[in-house]
Amino acid sequence: MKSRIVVLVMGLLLFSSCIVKSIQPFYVKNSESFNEKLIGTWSDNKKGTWEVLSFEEEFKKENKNEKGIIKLSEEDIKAYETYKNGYFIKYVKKESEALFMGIPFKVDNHLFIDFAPFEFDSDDISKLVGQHLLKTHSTALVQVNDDDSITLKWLSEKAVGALFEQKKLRLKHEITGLDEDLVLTASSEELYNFLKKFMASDFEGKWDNDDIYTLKPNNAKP
Amino acid sequence: MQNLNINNILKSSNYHRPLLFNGVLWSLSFLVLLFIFSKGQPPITADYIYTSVFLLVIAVPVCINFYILIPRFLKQERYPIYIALFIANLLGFALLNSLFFNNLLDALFPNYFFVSYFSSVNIYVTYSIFLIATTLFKLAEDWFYFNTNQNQVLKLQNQQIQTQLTALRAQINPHFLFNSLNVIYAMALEKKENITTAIVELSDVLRYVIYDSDTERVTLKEELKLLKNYISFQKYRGQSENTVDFNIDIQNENFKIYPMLLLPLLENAYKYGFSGNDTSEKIDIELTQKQSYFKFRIQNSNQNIKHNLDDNYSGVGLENLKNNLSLVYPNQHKFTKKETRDSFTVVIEIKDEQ
Repeated sequence: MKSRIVVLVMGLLLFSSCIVKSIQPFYVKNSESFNEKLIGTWSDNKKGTWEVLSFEEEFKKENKNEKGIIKLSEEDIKAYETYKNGYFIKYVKKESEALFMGIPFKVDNHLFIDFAPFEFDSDDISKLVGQHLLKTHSTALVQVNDDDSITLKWLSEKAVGALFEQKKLRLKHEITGLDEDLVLTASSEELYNFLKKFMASDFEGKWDNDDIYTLKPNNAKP
Repeated sequence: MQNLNINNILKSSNYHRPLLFNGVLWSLSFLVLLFIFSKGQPPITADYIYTSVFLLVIAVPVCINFYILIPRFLKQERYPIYIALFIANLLGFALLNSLFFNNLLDALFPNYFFVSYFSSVNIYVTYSIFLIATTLFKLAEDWFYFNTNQNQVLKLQNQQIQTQLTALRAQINPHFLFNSLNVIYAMALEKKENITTAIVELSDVLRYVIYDSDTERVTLKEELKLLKNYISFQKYRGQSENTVDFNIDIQNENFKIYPMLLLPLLENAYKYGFSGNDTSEKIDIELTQKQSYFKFRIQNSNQNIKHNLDDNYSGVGLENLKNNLSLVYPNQHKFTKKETRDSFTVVIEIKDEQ
């Protein structure tokens, strides 16, 4: 799994240029909203492939024994309760693979997914690199289109950074690292409230084209 | 004497400054809340807007507390009702804030994002702290003006007393002078040789009466000297010094008393105690001082009744004396006047810890 960390780093880099990262998830517990339509494999407009699996289904498959009885530890139960409404998301591009835990949630009538790196193995020098990485969250607005395609619009640093620059937004955050990355440090409740206001507002540059992905189902008829 | 109306003076010089008070209160509140809302970082436009609107909203329960609850309940000592209404006021407006404040802000400022400010719990805590703090601030302001007014009342009362005392002294001096000039006049009519000596002695008495007595207190020694000078002066009126029995029992001649307390009594004794014919008429004076206790007793024959004399001047002198005692020794003195057909006695007793 040496390559896993490399894959993860590369996968993060795919998004990290412009998306907003947060220490805390963007959703609150009662806003979770599982949507079966996202399950499946998808190809995006940037030559990437997405595989979306139900966490609950995968969890049950992995924890069944021969007799069909599920044996769960306390940690398993906790993980199940936390992510049962979520997805395993595998993103592959140019033979590079990134794994995310995605939690769908509703902000008013809008569907969002909270993305977070799921897990990775690393060893030797790459392990040390991995220990420096923080599994931050990002979020994307999900739009199901008429042609069954899906559009993912990531909350971009460009839009949120502009609000900070214009002094119109008070949201806990830090500018950190050599690249002066914007990292939100607000609580999930505050992030969720921000998304509500963000969706209700109308201003220029709200979505950055670089962070918009259109996913088409792989089994779709041409 | 015109009496000063202290309440009217205080009303006309009301020290409350609502504009100043509210200006200071809300300016300080704005600065503190702005610091809290900006979380120690340089404030941004959103912080200024949030703080301003927050203050406008919280001003409602604060003003209800200031101008309704405190004056009608707290200051009327209806504490349980005040506490209940204070809590209701606090909880009610905190609840309204938690329900509608963000909606109000979003409606008024759709392009601003007020996110990292308050949770619902924090709103109740903030309202509690703010309302309690402003109540204490208001009470502190009230105390400040109450204290200022109290000092003003004390100053005015003191001034009033001084005015009364000055007025009373101003009545004594011409009274005494008038009597003394009558004596000199009588001596001049009789062309007595020692009239010049009498005038010098009178001037000594007057110096004391006009200048030396113009202090808060004099020693018994000085007051005694005045009485003796006066008695000596009276010989020019024809009365022998032997007509006065002066019994003195003083422990401390530096014991201090209010000046000119005793002279009016001696004056009256001379004026109304002698008919001019009866050589047996005498004035009995008894002066005692032991520790904080002082007693002066003077008795003379009652020529008023015997010869049906006009009592007006005597009445004025005694009335002045009683007023002085009330002002200078409140609850520390006893004034007794006893009048029979044959005698007239006045006793002053003073208990003064010095």
